[in-house]
Amino acid sequence: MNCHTYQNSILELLPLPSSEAIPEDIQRHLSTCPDCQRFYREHAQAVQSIRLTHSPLLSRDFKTNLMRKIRSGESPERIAPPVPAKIFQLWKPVYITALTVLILLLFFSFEPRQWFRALWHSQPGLPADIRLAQAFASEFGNGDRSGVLYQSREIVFQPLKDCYGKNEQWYPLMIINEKGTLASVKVSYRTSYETKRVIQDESWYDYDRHCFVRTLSLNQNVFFINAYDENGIVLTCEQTPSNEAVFQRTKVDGFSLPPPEEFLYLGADLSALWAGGDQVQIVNSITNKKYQGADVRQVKSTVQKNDGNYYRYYFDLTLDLNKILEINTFFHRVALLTIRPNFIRQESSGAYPRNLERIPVHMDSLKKFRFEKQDVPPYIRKTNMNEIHESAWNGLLYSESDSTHYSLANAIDILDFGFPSQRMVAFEYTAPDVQPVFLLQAFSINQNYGAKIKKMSQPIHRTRTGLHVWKCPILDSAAEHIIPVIQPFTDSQVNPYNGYLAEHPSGSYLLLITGETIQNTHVDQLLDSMTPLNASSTIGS
Amino acid sequence: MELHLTHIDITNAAISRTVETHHRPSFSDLWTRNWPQSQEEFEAFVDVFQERIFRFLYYRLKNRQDAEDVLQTVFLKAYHDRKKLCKVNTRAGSYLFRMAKNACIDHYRKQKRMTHVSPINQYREIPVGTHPESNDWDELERIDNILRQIPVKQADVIRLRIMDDLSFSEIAEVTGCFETTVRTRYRYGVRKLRRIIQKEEKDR
Repeated sequence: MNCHTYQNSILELLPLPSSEAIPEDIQRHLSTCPDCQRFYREHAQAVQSIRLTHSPLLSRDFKTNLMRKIRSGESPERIAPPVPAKIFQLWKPVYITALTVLILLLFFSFEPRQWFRALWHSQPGLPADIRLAQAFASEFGNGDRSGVLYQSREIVFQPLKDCYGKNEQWYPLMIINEKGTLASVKVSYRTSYETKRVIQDESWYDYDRHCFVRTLSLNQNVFFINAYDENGIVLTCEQTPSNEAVFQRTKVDGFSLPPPEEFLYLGADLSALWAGGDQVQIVNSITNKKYQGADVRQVKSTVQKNDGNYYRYYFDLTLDLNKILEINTFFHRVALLTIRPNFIRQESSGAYPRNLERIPVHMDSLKKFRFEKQDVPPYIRKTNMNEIHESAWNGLLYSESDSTHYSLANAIDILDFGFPSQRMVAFEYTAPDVQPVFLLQAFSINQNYGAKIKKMSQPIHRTRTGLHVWKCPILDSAAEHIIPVIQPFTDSQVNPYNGYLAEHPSGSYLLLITGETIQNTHVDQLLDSMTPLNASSTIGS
Repeated sequence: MELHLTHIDITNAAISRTVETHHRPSFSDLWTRNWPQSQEEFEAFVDVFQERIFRFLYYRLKNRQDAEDVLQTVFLKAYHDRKKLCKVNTRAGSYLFRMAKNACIDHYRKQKRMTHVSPINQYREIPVGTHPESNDWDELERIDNILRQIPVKQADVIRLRIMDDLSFSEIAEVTGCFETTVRTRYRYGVRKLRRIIQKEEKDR
């Protein structure tokens, strides 16, 4: 044993009662080691200094009194409740009357008609984040996938009276850069203004020719262009250090144009805003605003970023959750941006700007802005479950077995509408009668919605491997927005959308959307073939 | 330094165990039977534990009358709930200490509430006269002030060990911790205690 060990033993011996002995080997060590002797002396003194010089003694008649009480059957004393102050007792009736009047006043200050109407439309029990997710999903469901999709947004840079929040005031813009990958661009004003500034964000996506154009303009003067044409050429508009616009045309080989939801929709842009933060709070309320005569719902989301700052996003939605009317972003309490998705509409093919180099880029407008580009990690586009394997959540792997009633027709990965910085993976299966079945997995379903949807659903089935299946009316309407984008159902469909939720014993959720009433045996075949990632050693090729 | 040899052990743990067995009888040695049911049994039970629990309460409440009142409540409750406690099959001694600890907290709470209502209750009865206890208040306050500078858990173990004379195994039973944890907390606590005392002496 070394000194340290002896010292630990000495400490445990303290306080050493006079009648007791110290073990011999400690004693032997103490007699030879001056350091340990000093250690012992100092610590013994310290311990002695917190001992009382005498032991307090109990009253002689304590036990007699106690036993007398026990014999008389006395109960233990209960701690008495606090006695209210006398002054409160005297004024109690006045307080109660005043409180009652206050409550009544507050109650009648509501406008009952509006209140009940809001309640009627608020779909009680529907969580705020599901409402928001549905509103984002509705963005995908505007029309079919042909012709030209045109959308326009108004971006209002709110006035900043001082520099507070200046660095946070930027519009996130997803573009395709010259390498044929996605990039996130921060568009910000070089100087702050005391009046608001409005820029226009317009985009055209041609489904038939697989090309797109996106422009930013200030007072109808275009100052930014990003495009991809049918010849496979990406057009970017780079800003030189001297604030001049330089067009760059790059031929991108082996590039397939991603669907518009990847980079042109709100969710894609907002993913940059939401990245690096945890959603800490999400609430919804009915506002006094009106849209086409109806009330407007507001969903508020507070995100705390890694830097500790709070960012707030207020989403104004229509009551039917089919449209995002306005998004306001705040840095703490400072208003930064207002985004108004004005309209999204389909146009006939060819109705988009051509000869882009001839579009005059307005240099005075361009000089007012700063563009900071950051490459987005390449999205996973493999048609297998590797997407999920790369995700930060526990997905389910499927086995490509021919024995199932359904056969895999397509694998589509899109942004997770409830959590735009993540991916959502949809698998399209077809039954022998060509009816499609969609199986969706996403971070937000796993983390946020699965448990909530389950509470609003009816259990209908349990598969052989223990997956529970619920029928979810709420998914019917959500599917109504998503499915037509992926695969339009046939007109003969009587009940086009059926939504189911399946929960794997490992705690993973997945959504099942079908155009027919699904049969239990077929569900069993499909779902039972799935295994959770953490239980799998190999990923499907 | 006069030292008597009783055992020669090699390991530190063995030394500690050896010393512990010489220290004093533990709870389980003091009361080997089940929770007392009859009045006679309970009287014997009171005889065994009353002084130790009283000291425990006195050091914390710093008032003889309060300590005796709380002690009486603890024993009355122990007798009142004897059938229930018998079924729990817990160690009587350590359970009684825990009851005393909870009663102490209740007493503080009650005193706090009463203080809030009537400022006159802030007055504490401090014994006066030539009785040795007349100095206890200041002494206990001084000890409290020292122990407040040590992390609460370590200070708790030090109180139980030094002031209440409990063995490590008893402290482990009372606090619900492992004995090794208790020993570690004690060692660290005493080291800090020494530094505090030395600093105070330097400052004087």
